[in-house]
Amino acid sequence: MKDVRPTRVLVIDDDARGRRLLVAMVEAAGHLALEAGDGAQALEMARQNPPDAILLDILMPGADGYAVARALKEDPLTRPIPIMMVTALSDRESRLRGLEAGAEEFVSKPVDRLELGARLRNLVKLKRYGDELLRRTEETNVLLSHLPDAVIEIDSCSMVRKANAAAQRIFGYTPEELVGCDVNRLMPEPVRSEHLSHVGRYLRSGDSNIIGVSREVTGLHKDGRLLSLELRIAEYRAHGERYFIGILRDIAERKRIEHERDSGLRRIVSLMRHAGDWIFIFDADDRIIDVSDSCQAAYGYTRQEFFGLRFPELCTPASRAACKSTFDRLRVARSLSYQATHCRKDGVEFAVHVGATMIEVDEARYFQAIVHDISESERHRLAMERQLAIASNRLGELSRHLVEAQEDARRRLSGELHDRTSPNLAAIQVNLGILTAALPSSIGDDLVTRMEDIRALIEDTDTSIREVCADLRSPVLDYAGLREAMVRYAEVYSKRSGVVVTVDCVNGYQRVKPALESLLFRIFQEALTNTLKHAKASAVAVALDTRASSVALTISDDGVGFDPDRVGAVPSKPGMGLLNMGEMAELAGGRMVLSSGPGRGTRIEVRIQA
Amino acid sequence: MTGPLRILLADDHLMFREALRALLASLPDVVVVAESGNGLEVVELAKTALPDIVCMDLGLPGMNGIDATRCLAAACPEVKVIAVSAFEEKHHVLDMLDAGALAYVTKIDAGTELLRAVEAVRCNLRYLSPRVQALLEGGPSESSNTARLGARERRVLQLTGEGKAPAQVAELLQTTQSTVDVYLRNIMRKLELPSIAALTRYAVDAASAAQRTEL
Repeated sequence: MKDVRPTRVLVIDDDARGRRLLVAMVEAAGHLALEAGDGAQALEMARQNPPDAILLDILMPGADGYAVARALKEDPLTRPIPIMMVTALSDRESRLRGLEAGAEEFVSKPVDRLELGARLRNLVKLKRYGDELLRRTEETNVLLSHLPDAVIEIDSCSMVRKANAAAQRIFGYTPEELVGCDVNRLMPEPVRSEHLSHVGRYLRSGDSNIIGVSREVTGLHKDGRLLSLELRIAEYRAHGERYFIGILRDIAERKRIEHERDSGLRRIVSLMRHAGDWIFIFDADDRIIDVSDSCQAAYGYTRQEFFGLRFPELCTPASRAACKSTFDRLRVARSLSYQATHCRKDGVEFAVHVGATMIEVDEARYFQAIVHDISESERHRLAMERQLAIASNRLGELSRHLVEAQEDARRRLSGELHDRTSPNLAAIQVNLGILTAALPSSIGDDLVTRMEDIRALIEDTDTSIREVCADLRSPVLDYAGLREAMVRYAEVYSKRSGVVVTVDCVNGYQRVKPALESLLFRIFQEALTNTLKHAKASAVAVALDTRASSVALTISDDGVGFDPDRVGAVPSKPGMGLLNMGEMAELAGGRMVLSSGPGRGTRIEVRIQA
Repeated sequence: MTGPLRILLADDHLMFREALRALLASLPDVVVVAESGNGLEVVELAKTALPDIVCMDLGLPGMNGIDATRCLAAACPEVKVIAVSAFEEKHHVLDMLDAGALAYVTKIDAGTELLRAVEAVRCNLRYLSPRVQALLEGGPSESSNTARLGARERRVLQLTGEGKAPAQVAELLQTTQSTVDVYLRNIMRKLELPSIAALTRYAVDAASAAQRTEL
């Protein structure tokens, strides 16, 4: 910061002519000149409003220049003002006397204007430095005296050079008592002996793990008490000397709180330590701070080894990330349980159930985890799952086999009825016709009508066989394919039920493999049967898409619909076969989606890989 | 045309074939010149037996009736084919006609319908039995409705139209009620009526229409 205030220079000379000459020179040098005609007036002015420099003539009546200089330097108020003496005498004698009196600078008469200017500038600069030094010293002293930490400065011989007010509060010694003493009076044994060797080693090797590092130390109070302190040491060098500043903080209170907290935790742990359960206590950073005894055998770590671990590190590396996010939840939820895979020290993994709870001791957060080994039940569960998978696989195969066998039986039965029974009836019918025609007219109406009854019976039987055949195995399905079979079935169905059925083939139609055709036909049949039984529908739309990579069959009606969520509640009776539509679709490697809602009709969509 | 009508019977069901032979034997100017139960054989046989008409089953071993008809049409175009089949599906009918058959008769109706088919075919006319005709038209045509019913069926329909219950109808026709039920079912099927109620309605309408005609 540049000081814009003009420099004030007090010119002291009894000779008015000489004084005016000096004033002119001072002003020419850019300073503000003040004038005093004698020593008394000069002292008064300097005290009232200290100037930045004083130009003092030696030869004056009354108090001469030496006396004025001495008076100025004796007064603390005026002592910092630099004095330049103006003397006609350039001899060594008068200069020595001037220095003794406190003058900082000399200039000889006749005064050279430029020399005076240069010397004045230096003098003022010196004054400014002095002022700044004073200010900083004052600032440092205020800082030190208000600091809660003790600040003690020692030299390389461990002699105390400075101590602040906090040092007195902590150690009981006044700064005066400490300054000049060996700092080791503040240390109990064995710290005292160690201190010497520490300092010695540091001075020799420069081993710097002392400087700038805070550590806990024990101190000694004036009254003999031991003190818990935290010490940090700073070092500086000046004039080739090394100085150390120790900053000491009283941490007794903190230690007491920690101790109480520890003992609170210990109480909690001691209650659980002998329990058979594996109990872990860990802090907010997940660091394990205690474990129950049984944990050591379970995990293969010693108690001490546990203390070096964080709780999530007990998880297998693969599950650690998941574990970490679980812990983030724990901090919010305060309590939760989860399953994880833990890892013994020797690498053996086992499944565990963890119940973790946040516990608060003296406002600090800890967590307690109770861990149970569930590997046995987990193994059991996995084995059961495997067995279930095998069983359901086998069931699937059996069902598939059953469906095939059923389809085969239908085909054979239908073939038998169609190829033998039906022609047999036809043969009987033809023969009866021949017989009727051959009857003599005398035979009587009764016998003729009876013949007609028999023929009606045969016709009815033939019809019912035909219906059974169609139900068992659509003759059209084998002959003309799925679309025609559906169209034909729909025609008959519509006639029988009055429900309008439309069959649409998206993207044209191409035949797919027979097993898939008959499966889709069965689903179609069952859907139509269900519609008739439950839906009260007036129209059913069937859409078949055989061109896509998977064959899609969609059957939707405009009936009353139902709540699909309640399907499971009422066990549905198998319709056309042993399996329901969904199961049939699944067996063929496809799936069925059923959508419905009260009043919204029912829509069935089946997709099966062609 | 001179000489009797020569017929070849192609059916693997022996009993039925014999019944057909007996049936055709009742016609004075018809002779069954050959028989076979194998589709391939039929085509060969036709070349030597020179029939006028082949009564062709559809489900033949060796070669099915449709393919055999196609071969026959190519080998002996003058031979007329009457399909006599247990299949009562549109596709079978259409494919058979496409292959060259001139008539199609279902087996169960063969007793009466085959004779009509033979009469039609010998005059080079196409013939489809009423059941088959209905199949192709997608429903019974009005005119042929009652024509398709037998005398006794018409009587059952008439009595029902007069408001008689099945038990009364049975009594009047001197038969059992279950036989009347059989008739009702046959009528329902032939007229393609979805329910007994629909049949009753139809019968009542038919009866009142008949009354109007009389008046």
